[in-house]
Amino acid sequence: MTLAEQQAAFARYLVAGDNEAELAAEVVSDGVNAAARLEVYRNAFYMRLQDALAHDFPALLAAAGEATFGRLTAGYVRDRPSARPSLRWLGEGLAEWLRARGEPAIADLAELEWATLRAFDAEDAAPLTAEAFAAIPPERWPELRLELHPSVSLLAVGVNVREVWLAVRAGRPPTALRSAREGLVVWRASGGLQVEAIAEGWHLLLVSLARDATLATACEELARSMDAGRVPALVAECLHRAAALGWLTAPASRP
Amino acid sequence: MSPRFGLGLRPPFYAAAAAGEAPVDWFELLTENFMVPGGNPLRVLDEVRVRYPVALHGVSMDLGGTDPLDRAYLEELRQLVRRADPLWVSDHLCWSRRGGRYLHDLLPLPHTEEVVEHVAARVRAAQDLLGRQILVENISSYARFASSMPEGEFVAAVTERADCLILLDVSNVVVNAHNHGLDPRAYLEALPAGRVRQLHLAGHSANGPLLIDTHDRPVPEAAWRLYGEAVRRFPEAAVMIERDEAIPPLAELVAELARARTIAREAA
Repeated sequence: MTLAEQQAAFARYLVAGDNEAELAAEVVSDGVNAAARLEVYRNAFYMRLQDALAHDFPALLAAAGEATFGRLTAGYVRDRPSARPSLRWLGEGLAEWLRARGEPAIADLAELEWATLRAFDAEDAAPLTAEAFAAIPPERWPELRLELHPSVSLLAVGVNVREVWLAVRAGRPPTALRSAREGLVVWRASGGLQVEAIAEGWHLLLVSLARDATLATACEELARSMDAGRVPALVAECLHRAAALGWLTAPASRP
Repeated sequence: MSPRFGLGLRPPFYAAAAAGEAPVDWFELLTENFMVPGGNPLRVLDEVRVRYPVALHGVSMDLGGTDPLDRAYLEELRQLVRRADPLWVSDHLCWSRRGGRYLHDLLPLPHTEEVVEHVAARVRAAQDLLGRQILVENISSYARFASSMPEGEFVAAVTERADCLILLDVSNVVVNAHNHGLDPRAYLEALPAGRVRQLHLAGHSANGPLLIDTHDRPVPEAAWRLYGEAVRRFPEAAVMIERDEAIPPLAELVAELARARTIAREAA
């Protein structure tokens, strides 16, 4: 075998394990046979990657249970090649993978935990303070484009994942998963990671802003799904809260 | 003289390191843990590096691989190097990626002339992209491919031909000596002394007849004995103790490091 063929065979052995004899023929068997030597690598491959996922998705592990978590993550590790040099990104596709396998409830939980991981080491940016927000003259509001802080994720989930996540984070057993349509904001505050449930209208507004819509466009979109007369008050309330909690960045920090 | 006695910067030590309260000469940082957009890891890096010299130690350069070098990774590393201003930048003499898939392990290479040439060319390319010399570390291994030269000679040939430096993991020599019946002293003798800048020490565990480099316990006696030999041969090299699992209180690792200081003093 060439070096490239040998490495292709080794990679296939680690992931699928269906070519042990072919690879073992390349390995020196002295004292310990080649198959036993190779097995060390194969076991370590799955253990290392599944341990990394268990570390990053503790609520998913607690809610699914060890056996189900082990079965699902083994499948994920096998099916989804890790394309990034750091294990920090390993779980990036887990929620989507679970959803595609018909596991929407734990997919929502995985999505929430991935958002908390993203928030933990997202880019730093100066937040738009409540004072700076209040100082923006009302005539500028329609054309205003407000940017969400890089640590903010907006989620629309179908189960009570926030409750489960909070329980596991507090060291309690996970709450049972049950249907609960919720809009969630995940972000990094000075005191640590935060998850807050928000009203549907707030969620729609923040999603529009995240798409770089002007405030006028965001309000028009909102008016299609609710009583237009209630839009201005909702927008004012949501944006004041968003500024107070650090969900927005200061316009000056935009490139 | 460069800082000599260091430890790995692991999360339980972040606060002590940021406050300058750890009695060590330098810290080694795991490169990939700090290749993040922002938040706490980079804040810790900025705080620690004003208190201590740091080294960057990575696992994903894939120097022995057959995929093209990951230029995005190397560019990100170059930026991290600019921020951290490290004493040394190191990675492993191994491969870790195939067909675009990162395997997140340090996988073994055959020790042949052809592979020496292949790896040395990649080390040179990485050094060109980073604009600096790197250190390459000998790995522990559990399987060995048919080879035409002993491992120590392989490490020496790659580093001479790539004009790079060496991070000698003393414990990995102990593990490989056991797993493959190598002569550990001959291994050290084969290395070009002027290139050895850093030494690693760590604990291993037994898995049946094989030793596994687990970094989960104190440095064993066999590694201390070989370290005594290594500090005689490479008296200028800095040394650090690696602990990645079952991490004890900082004081316990500082006490282990004191033993490394004593052995080095006695060898001088």
